[in-house]
Amino acid sequence: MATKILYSEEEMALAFQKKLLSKKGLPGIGPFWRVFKEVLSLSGRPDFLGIQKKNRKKVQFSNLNGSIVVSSIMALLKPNTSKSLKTIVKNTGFSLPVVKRVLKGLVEDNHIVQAGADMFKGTEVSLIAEMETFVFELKLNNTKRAIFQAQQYKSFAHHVFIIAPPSRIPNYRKFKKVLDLWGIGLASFDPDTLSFKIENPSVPKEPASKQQLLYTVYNAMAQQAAL
Amino acid sequence: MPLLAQSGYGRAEKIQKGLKSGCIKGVILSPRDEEPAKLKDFSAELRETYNDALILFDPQFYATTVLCPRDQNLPSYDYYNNNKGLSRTKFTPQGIQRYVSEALAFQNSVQELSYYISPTVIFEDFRDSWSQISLGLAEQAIEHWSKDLSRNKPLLCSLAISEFAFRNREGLDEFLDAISAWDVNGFYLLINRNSTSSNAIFDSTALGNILYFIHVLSRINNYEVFCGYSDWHSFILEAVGASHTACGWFQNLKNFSMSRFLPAGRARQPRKRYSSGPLLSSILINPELEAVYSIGSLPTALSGTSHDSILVNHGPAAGEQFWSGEVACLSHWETISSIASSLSGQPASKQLELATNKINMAKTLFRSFQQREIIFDPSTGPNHLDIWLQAIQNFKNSISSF
Repeated sequence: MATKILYSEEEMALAFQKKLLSKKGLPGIGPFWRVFKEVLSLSGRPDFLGIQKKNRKKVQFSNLNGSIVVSSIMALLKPNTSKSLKTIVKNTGFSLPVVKRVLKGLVEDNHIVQAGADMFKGTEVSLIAEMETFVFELKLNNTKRAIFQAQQYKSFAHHVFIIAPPSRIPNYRKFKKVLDLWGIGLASFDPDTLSFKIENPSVPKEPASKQQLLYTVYNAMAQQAAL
Repeated sequence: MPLLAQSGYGRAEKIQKGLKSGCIKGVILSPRDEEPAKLKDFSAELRETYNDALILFDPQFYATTVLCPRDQNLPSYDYYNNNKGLSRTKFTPQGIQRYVSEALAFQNSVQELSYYISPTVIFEDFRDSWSQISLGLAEQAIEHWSKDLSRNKPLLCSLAISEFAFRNREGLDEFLDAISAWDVNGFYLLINRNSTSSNAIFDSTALGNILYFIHVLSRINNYEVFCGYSDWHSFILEAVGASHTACGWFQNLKNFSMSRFLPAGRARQPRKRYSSGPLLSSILINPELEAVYSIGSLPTALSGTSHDSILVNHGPAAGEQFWSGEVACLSHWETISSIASSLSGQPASKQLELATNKINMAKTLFRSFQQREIIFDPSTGPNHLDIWLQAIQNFKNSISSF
């Protein structure tokens, strides 16, 4: 018979937040530069997003709004190669007037540079190269749902962890193959003792969609202050 | 079977591209989403480039019965603006006469339209007072079309019926008796869904009776039946006799619901989906199609459209950012259209059998993916497939006793 869990998912989230924000961070993962709760992404709303910096370099986060058009354009433009307006319209799938309007704003705010008539390129600062993103999805029950959500989050996060109470970890055994295939981490967390243990490591991988990564991070930065 | 574009907000170049590629054969225009002048210009542009395209106009008169509707451009049409906020008591014989003549007068002013579509109201039950108003509007439209418009182009009587109404078979039969005597070219049928979400699964009894309703009108009484907002159901509707189906790009243009005309909050960005012909479902590109890709089975889930290369070349998750709304729409039309085409040309008796085989094959494919630990969101399926099979069985039982 399954052990009854005497706390709610919200209580577990509060305790986990405390652990995430602690000076040492999570055992085996370390401390975070920024932590956000329930961030808006194009693939759902993960419980927590943690960002670690890869080095001590100062990261300048732009104050971009998290629109889908902005993130699509920013994901497309690189510092070294210029892209034409026509290419940007074709690859993003947005209409010409919308793309033109957004490009104008991005150039005015120095997020991108105009490299000739209807030619654009990114600036030197590469936000993505400087950071590593971690997503944590907490679940008391519903193992399948947890795995499904974790798979979705792989589109924008380097690491994805499912966090479950210690007594629920055996429920994930039959999904070991799926977790390994997707590089999804599994960890147990006990809100009473704040003990955190990695049961299955996450395999770091570049997010499948740069656009989704930017959309999520811009939204996190623009819509909510870090915890 | 000719698929039509169910037009609405955000059409951009989708319709022109769909017509050019041949995956749609025409359009049903939406006055809610276009001003009259723009709509006329667009019709003229289509007619000039695509001479044989079917161009229809849904007057969306049903929105006149909604208080404080989200009617966008509809008030710029006189037939709507003069009559909005109609309660039951406003449908007097004189009132009905005026509503019909105004709605058809606008359509008469757009030369490019291929058919007239009569104004209608939505009803919840075949025996309620709104159903009688609906009959009154249609009968008046036939009279006006015969006498005042000299039948200068064909007329479709529009019917907007709640999905719940189709559970009442007795009422349905009475209604069919009434409308199957009409001297008209055909019907434009809208099923008012209770929900517009992508997992809006029909009740199998209701769907079975909808199939029966279409079959009686088309195969038994030789009317043309245009089914609006029919999305994935298109091929089943064709198998029972629908002459045309229609589908748009957003969820509210794939399933008809009055919620489109009711006040609403800001919708969240929809997750990107891929229309998989073999699975008969629009599956999430990430993680569902990506999961199929990760086990090396991507080709088995692909529809074989001209847009597949985007996801094949990059991989589904990485290619998702290039899967724009326009690409998703064109790919969806191409998929639905090709499934329906595979049935057309077959004898009527064979079409339903082929449709059933396709559903069974989709079920088998879903099962094989699930056995390999691929998890599907409930909105993706495969529960809808069992409902379809049950509905087809109910339909077969109905016609065997016909």
